[in-house]
Amino acid sequence: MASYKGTPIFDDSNYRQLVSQTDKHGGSFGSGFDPQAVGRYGSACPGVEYANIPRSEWKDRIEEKERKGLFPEAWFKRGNVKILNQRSWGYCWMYGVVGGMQLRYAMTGRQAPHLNPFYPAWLGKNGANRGGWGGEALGYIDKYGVPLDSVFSGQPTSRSSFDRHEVKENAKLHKVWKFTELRRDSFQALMNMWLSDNPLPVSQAFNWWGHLVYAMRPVVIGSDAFGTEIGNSWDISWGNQGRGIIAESKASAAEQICIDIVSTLAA
Amino acid sequence: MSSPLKPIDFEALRKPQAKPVSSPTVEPHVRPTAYRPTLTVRDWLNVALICAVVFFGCLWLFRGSDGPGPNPGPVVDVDGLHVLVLTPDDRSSLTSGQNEFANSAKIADWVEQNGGKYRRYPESQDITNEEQVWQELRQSLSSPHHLAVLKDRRLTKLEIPDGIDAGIRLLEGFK
Repeated sequence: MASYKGTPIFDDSNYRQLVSQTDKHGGSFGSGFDPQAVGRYGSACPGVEYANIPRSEWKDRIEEKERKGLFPEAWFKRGNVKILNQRSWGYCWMYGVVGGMQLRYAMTGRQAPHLNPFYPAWLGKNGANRGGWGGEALGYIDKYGVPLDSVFSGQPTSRSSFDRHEVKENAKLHKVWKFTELRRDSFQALMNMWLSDNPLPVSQAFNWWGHLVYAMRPVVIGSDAFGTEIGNSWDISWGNQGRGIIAESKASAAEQICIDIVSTLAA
Repeated sequence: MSSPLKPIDFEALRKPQAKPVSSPTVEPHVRPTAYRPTLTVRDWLNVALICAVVFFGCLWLFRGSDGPGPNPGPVVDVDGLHVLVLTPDDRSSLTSGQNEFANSAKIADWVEQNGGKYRRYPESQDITNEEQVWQELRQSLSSPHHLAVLKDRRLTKLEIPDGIDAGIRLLEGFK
């Protein structure tokens, strides 16, 4: 398998193994894309368009920004961002978004909190093990918040675990205050955002994979070949410590939402 | 022939002149003229105007400037190096170099490698949950496009430097 600095690259030649892994790791996001999903939950700027960056400039710009530590991935390392594990639950649509939240917290300069996405996902689905979308996840995050894993750990299914006052109060501290949706099925839109003045973590829902993850930087994988490095929610045993690269041919996402501003953490 | 000169009666001079008991004391209806200012409304307005000019002049002289260049401000009672970068929500109002400074993990790395703490927040971010020191630094910045550097309890406000290298050179002064 091709790789980039030790991180496996998934493209047209090997993407099927990811699809089969989905069965093993559990759940996908919802079938049938709801175009209103994001807008319904109050996207600040749905379909926002960044200035177009010609493909001919991608390589040089990526390498320059990489050298200067401007992509979210540079903050992933220093913020000690935790790779999540959704286990057999079909809550990737929540785990991917919350993974992006953790990275966004790291980008404020502090150590990233280890959040537990199971709490808002389970409450949002009323305990059902069902797929969803990133926009839907943002709605539940706004409603319930996301608790620290140290306060609400694992994947308990008893209602009493969710009703604890301490958990509810802690969850309210961690929310997304602003997000922006990029043009769907457009790798160009993703690159435009990343090569803009304000690169952000972005959740990506792939129809071919039936899975939602978050992306942290663009990578140059050939003379005119590009990809996106993702953080998965299948624990660190997957890919390179939980991270992988999706080649351009597979990196156009049916839904891609930038995590722009997160609430501040308690001191 | 008698002398025309009379001898001086020194005793009489020593005695106070006695007033006749029945002599009434007549108070004049008008007191002796003395300077007593009578200010008109116009005078008061002039005084108020002068006071206002002096007051606002002092405010201007001792204001906390967010302009370029170090401007030591108030003391914040916290030890160590703290750097807060406050960015505008609309990043297009920053230069390309300023955006690089604000986004680069290298700046945060530099601060921590030098024993400090680093934060960066957009202007619309509510940071009421943050530690008190960050809230005080945030309050010290009246507008985005700036960073607050706290070193040895002395707060300095600076315009966001135009580039990563320029920023690190600037921060070197706080080591």
